[in-house]
Amino acid sequence: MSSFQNRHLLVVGAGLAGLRAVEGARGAGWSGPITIVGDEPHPPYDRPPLSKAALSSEEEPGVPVLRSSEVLEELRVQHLSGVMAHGLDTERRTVTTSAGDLGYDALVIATGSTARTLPGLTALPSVHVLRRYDDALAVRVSLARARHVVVVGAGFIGSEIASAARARGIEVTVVEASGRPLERAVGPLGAARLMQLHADAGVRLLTRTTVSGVRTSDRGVEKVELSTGETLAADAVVLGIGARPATAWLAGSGVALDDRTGGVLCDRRLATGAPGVWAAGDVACVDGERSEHWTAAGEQGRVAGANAAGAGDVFASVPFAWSTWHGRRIQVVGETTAAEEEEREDGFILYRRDGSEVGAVGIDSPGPIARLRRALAGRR
Amino acid sequence: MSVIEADKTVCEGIGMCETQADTYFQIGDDGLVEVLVDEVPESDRGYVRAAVDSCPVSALRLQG
Repeated sequence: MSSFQNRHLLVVGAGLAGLRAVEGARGAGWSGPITIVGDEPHPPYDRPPLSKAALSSEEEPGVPVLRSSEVLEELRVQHLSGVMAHGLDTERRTVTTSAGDLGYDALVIATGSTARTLPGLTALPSVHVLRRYDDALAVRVSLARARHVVVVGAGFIGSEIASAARARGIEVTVVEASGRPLERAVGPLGAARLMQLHADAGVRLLTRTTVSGVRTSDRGVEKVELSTGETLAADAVVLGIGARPATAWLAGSGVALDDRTGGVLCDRRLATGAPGVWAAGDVACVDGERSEHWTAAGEQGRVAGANAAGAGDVFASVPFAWSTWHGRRIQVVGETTAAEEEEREDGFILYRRDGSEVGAVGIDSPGPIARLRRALAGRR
Repeated sequence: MSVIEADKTVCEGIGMCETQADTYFQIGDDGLVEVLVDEVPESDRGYVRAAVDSCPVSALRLQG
């Protein structure tokens, strides 16, 4: 163990959770060196713009960096870009990386998640996932020349891609495996209202349908074959079928993973079972749940970093997500699944459990959402 | 002295600013950011800057 002043905080993962961990640690008085390691060549950047502004802007978007180089300098953080973590030894407090071994006194695991793909579709040109900046640029190129796009998955990412494609006048079909889109995110009424936005915008939605094959030529994708027997013309296919926690490098490390979600098991203080190891963001399974929301990733990062520096903070923020589909502002706050569901006013779907308000879905309803969010935050 | 500028046409009501600097920012009843105090003394500049930087839709600026 190094002397207190020179204790080294290592953050693996250079997304929002990792960056906020650095800020959280500095805010809580961590005075030693901090290193943040990311496997991409870019400075720490923000992901929400990748499926929103980056797809619709006229000009090619720059990397949506989270902080300016001046701010990173003030944080006294060393950023190692393009470095992959391969393994973790919690006894020796060492992370094995593509750039050699990195020792730590405290470690924050913030490696996020990796977009799911479909077997046989990964290496095809004009078949995309959307997780990273480089993915967004590739999707832009495909959308710029596409006339027909097939989006697989009617979740938030798939819906944002469908929206960006429609805004470009592209014919869009969304293919959804389940009978009920957004099943894990919102109740059936909320989902129906949200899917109506697609119908109103001319997006064709096929539920209980999967992709059974893709026909390509040397120009790329030509046709998409569906489980229903139908064949769709398509110049591009974008997969929005979720993401799995990026934990391969933790195999055999003694950091426990949740059986159901695959995330790193941690408590509300973001502590894992291993000494000196915290986790935050999409990779973290906090009290049995992976949040996979921007607001949760940021707050978990801050709490993990602060606690690594000796604070006693607890992650307790109200779940909140936002999106824009076809020019309509969507906000989801609190618990919106296992609860009673009622459309309180046009575009404001309220969720109650045992009589008390626990969450809402808003479509162009920022006022009621803000009031409920404040009330929910006050109860925590 | 620095000055906060907020662009309500860009704001999504996400509220990171309020979480980090609630003496300066609040999500109002219209669901959008309200700047409660727009002049920031040097002593508060650090954490207000952090709040401004943390806006994911770049709706906030700190001038000067």
